[in-house]
Amino acid sequence: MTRYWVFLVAACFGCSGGETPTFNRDIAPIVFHNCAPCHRPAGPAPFDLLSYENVSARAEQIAFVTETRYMPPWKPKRSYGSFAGERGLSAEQIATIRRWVERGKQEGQSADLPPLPRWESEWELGQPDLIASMTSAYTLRADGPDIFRNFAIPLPVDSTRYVKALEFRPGNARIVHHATMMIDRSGAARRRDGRDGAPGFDGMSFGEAEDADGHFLGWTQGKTPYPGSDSLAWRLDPGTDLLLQLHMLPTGKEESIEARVGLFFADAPPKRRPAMLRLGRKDIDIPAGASDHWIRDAYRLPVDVEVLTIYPHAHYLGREIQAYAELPNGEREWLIWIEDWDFNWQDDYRFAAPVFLPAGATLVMEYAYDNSAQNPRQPHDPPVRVRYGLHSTDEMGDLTLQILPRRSEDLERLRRDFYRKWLGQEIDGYKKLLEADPQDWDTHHTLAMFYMRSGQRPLALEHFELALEYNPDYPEAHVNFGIALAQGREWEQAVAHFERALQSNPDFAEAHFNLGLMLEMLGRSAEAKPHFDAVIRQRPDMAEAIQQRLAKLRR
Amino acid sequence: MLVAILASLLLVGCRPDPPKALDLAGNPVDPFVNRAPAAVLLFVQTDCPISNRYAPTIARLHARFQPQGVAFYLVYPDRREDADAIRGHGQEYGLPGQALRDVQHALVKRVGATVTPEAVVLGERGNIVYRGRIDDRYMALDQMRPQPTRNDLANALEAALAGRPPDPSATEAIGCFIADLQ
Repeated sequence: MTRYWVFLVAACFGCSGGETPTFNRDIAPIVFHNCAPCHRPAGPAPFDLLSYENVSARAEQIAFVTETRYMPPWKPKRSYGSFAGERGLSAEQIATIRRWVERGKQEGQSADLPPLPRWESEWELGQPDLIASMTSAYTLRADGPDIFRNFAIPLPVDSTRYVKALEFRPGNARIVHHATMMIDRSGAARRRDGRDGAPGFDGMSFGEAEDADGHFLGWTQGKTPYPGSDSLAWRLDPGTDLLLQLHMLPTGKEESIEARVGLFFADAPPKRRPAMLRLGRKDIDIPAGASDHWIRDAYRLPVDVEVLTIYPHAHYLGREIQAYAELPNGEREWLIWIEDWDFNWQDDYRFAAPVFLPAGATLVMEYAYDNSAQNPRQPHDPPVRVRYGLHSTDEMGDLTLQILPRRSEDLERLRRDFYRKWLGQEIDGYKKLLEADPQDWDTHHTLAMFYMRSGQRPLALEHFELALEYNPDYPEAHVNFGIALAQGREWEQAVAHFERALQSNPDFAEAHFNLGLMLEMLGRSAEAKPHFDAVIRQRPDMAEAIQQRLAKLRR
Repeated sequence: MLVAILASLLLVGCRPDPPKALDLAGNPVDPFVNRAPAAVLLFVQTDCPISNRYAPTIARLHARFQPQGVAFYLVYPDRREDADAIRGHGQEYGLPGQALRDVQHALVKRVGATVTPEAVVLGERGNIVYRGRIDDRYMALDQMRPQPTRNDLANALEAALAGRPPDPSATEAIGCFIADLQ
């Protein structure tokens, strides 16, 4: 009897709570503020939620997706890290929506309707100092799996500038799920762009591109652009390209996309510079069927720091993400916890206030993977052994942190200390990649470059040779192999590889540059000259480097 | 005269026509009266992204099964979508099959469709042999596989053409709620 009584009370509490909500008074304020920023005409989300008619034609669905907290999308668990721009509804707001639906979706008094929100039709941060766009529109196919495509966007400046903010405009917002941007000062991305006959190039690798002096440049649907600050701007030199990686979802028909970026310059060079630390494992190897496979990585901070932003990354098998710091006093400071990881909603999260961590604190990441058939995002049927790799059906486990040392003079110490850890981690990972695909020329080349950086030249030479055995038409590998040979005083062989690079790509400025220097060193100045001329034609910005190197050689 | 008017009023009041789906010219169509060996009703919507994402799959299924005698119907249950909007949508997404407007949800109720996109396969005698998803690409609104692993509608059509019951004969479809549209 008592049990029934309790049940009745609970049931009545649910059904009679407050008066009947109306759209104009109770629902519009919730929807306009929390849903319409994306669900609006030309917004990134499908259909607009700006009228009674449109909201009531989705009412059950809105009640359902808010109750399950699929919408508004926000993955981190609350109060395990506090972030700028957190999205979400209160339990009370969610209950109000349900009550409105159950009580007949009343429209209410028109006087109660709040004014329609307005959005900047162009740039949210104001008029940019520089606007750059994809060099030509890309056509996305109608069907099939998601596409990752990279585009080199020239950022034309005539002198060095400092960028405090970058605003991304997807153009066709509904097909771009997220965008990640890096800086390419090498020209490598520009050379790859368009080689397969369409604008851009495929894949999830950033190649030679690097982060913008320790800054994340990312965009996801619904993200508000960050205005940045003069004191933390990044350097933009003439000749730099933005490497834009778009994650696009086919919509059922062919779509055209031409994304743009707006850059906002600071008045002066930045006073401080953050570091990007990327923890992670490249030796990921998950048995088929394993439903609870964990990886862990950790790094002990050598200096006092503030953590500004955090970017966890895994693919479809990733299930849970935990990142925290173990403080010297034994306490745990949470950085982020995502219980139901979703590759499609990855993002970089900026802390609401920088998180201070003292020297001696250890950064820890622990990720769980579900490679069983029960994982609803499982890309393989039946499940197969999955290893580290850049394809979305491989796995990754990275945690990138944007970190500002408390004292600017500690930056170099932090970077050197972390570099040692990182290099070992990269070499182990690329060796693992070769186990899975021993003939991957790109991996051999990358591994060779890492061996060069860690001072293991004989191993580097071995992998350059393998890269070129599997792909003899690989100009970048010929140039880098040539440089490695030259460092071992094998001059003639170096010359041969620079020449071979030019056979594959006659406009390759780096090949002309190195060949010119090599010939100059060998006393063949007359032969060197046309190569330097070719460099200056291709890359006027390299003229100064040529003069410096020649002056050095002649001393 | 007065009697005649009264009689017709009574007729309208007492025995209303049962709601019917209409083709784009406004003529009633009953896919259950069916001379084909099998028919498929695909519940779709012009602005449901999941429904739209399946357009190429629907076109492939049509290319494969229509020559074997399967009749394809695209059923639009959203009363906000008029004939012009539906025609434009069909062209934009290359959707094959006969488009029907089901604004009174006659077909929705008769077959128990819940979301767009959802498929219902009718057998030779107009009996429902399958209802549910097209494939298992979506497992929930926020759970999507890169590629489907089960092509449930294709399997159901093969079974219907072979005259055997499909296994499974019902699955849960994921998409935009039809309940909102009434």
